[in-house]
Amino acid sequence: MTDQNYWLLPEGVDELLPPAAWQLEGIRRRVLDVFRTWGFEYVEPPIIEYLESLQVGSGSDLDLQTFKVIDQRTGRLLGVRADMTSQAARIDAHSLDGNGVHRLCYAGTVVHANPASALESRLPLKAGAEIFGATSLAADAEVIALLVETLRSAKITKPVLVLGHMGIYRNLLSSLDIAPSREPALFAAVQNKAETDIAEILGAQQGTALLVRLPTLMGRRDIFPEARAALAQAPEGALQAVDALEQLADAVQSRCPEVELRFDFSELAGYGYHNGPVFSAYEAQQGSAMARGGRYDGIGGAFGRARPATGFDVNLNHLLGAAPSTEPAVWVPHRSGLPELLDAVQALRSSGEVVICALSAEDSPPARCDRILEKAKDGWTVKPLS
Amino acid sequence: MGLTIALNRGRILNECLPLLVAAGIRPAEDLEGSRKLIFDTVEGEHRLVVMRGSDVPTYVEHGGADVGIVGKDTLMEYAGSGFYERLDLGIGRCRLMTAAPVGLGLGSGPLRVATKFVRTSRSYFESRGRQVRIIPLSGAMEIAPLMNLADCIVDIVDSGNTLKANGLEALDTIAHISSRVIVNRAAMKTRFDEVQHFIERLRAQIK
Repeated sequence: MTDQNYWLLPEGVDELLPPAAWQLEGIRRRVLDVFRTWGFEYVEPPIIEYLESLQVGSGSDLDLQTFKVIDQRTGRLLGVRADMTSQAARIDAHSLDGNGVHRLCYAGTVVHANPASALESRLPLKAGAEIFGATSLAADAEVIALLVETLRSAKITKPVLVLGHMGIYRNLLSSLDIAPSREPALFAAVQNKAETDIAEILGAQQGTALLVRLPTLMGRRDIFPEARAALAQAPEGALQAVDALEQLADAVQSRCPEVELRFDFSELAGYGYHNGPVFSAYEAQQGSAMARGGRYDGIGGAFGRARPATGFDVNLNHLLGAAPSTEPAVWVPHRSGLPELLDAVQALRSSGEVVICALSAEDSPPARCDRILEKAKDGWTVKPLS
Repeated sequence: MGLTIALNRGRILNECLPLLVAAGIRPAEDLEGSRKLIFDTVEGEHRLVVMRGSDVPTYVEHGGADVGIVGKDTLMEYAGSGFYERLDLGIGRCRLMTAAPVGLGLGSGPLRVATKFVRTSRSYFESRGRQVRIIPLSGAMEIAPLMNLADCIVDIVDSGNTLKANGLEALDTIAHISSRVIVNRAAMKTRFDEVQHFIERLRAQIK
């Protein structure tokens, strides 16, 4: 790097400029307000933690995503959080008392050592909500309904919601003859719906045909009879997962009738800690999921208490509209020390208006000002700025 | 609204075009005789976009194209995975192989490997417990051993004639290659019916 490149940011590291930065902050506030009104307690987990704590219960994907630094005070390895779900689980398991239900929410920047794709930021702003201590499908339905409400607060009114269940794949896997060292390859092949690769990895054995079929089991509600027929010979647990998925779908559809539900029987969620129903939200205009989540019972065990848990996080950067706009403002020309003018400005600001005051007589209004505060007979009034 | 379909220029395009036409996706003009890169189709409002093979997964992952047709070799080499690999078209069949000068084999000890399949070669030799130095080239790998730039190469082998003409012989098969239909993850979820219809029509054409 030459000394003329001080301005250069690392690859995949963005800074938000006006007007997008206010817009994103507005979304963060609205989303947190939704969480607050649903009774979720707000927590602020730290950006850095001991590496082992961040990686509890998760797979190698999250390890690769985690920045590592040495703590100069102890010589121990610290991780910069790449995901906040396990932090919330730690807080629930270790720092909060009682075996009752805890509802926790958070919002903050996570850091991805490797961007999910070339177009993604390595510093996504995430907000999430998690319910600990509830085993019932009602808890899963609650977080999904909250996700829908969260998206609505960001003006995404018609998301596509994809539901799956980790129990289907996990139970099928247990009935297969496959070396543990080959399991990651099979997981990836199923995740990518690569039928040819699945067949190649499993070779000729009884379960191969079903595993090859699994990625094609997706669609609307009418896929259930076909899926049940296909899974007729599957282990009992897989069929129970299908039943649970259908019950969850009923609950979600009755609470959020406007949402388009899709099912994917081979949907395997992100970071390897999920073990029950999983879900993700898409919008037609975007190439990747805006939000994902699901059930991850028991990962708090490493922190002292294994507790049932379900929740989601949403990438707030994905909720930013395509064309961010600046809020219009009121212009106040330069005048010194008029008490009634200051009162008028204060009143406008209290009502939520953006008011920009000139700093000198030569100042001209910025482009965002569409109105001006002028003296009229009966005091100061707002008029269109020509 | 139809689908945007990314196609791999060259041999794969020539082999998959008859499949597409048989499946009812006919370009409105001759792909070969035009300098255009985006073509409309006769029915279905689909768009065909012709590009380099290594760019197909990039466009599909980011949603620029909804589906793409590309060789498995390109997919193995591609680092991302933001797409589904829905269908093996069974065309463009070949093998990804190691090859070395006739009679020399791979010997033992560290190897210099010339290839354009950098990622795939690295993980292949790693899985075999072999220390290698990869020499990235973008074409005509066969020359590298002759010029003493490398001990062996990793390349696509079809008939094996190019190898033979340059005094090389094919050794181990790393992977069997064929063309795959890949689908953007979000398109698979949000435009399920259209994508599924496209996949099933193509599937019906596979021998």
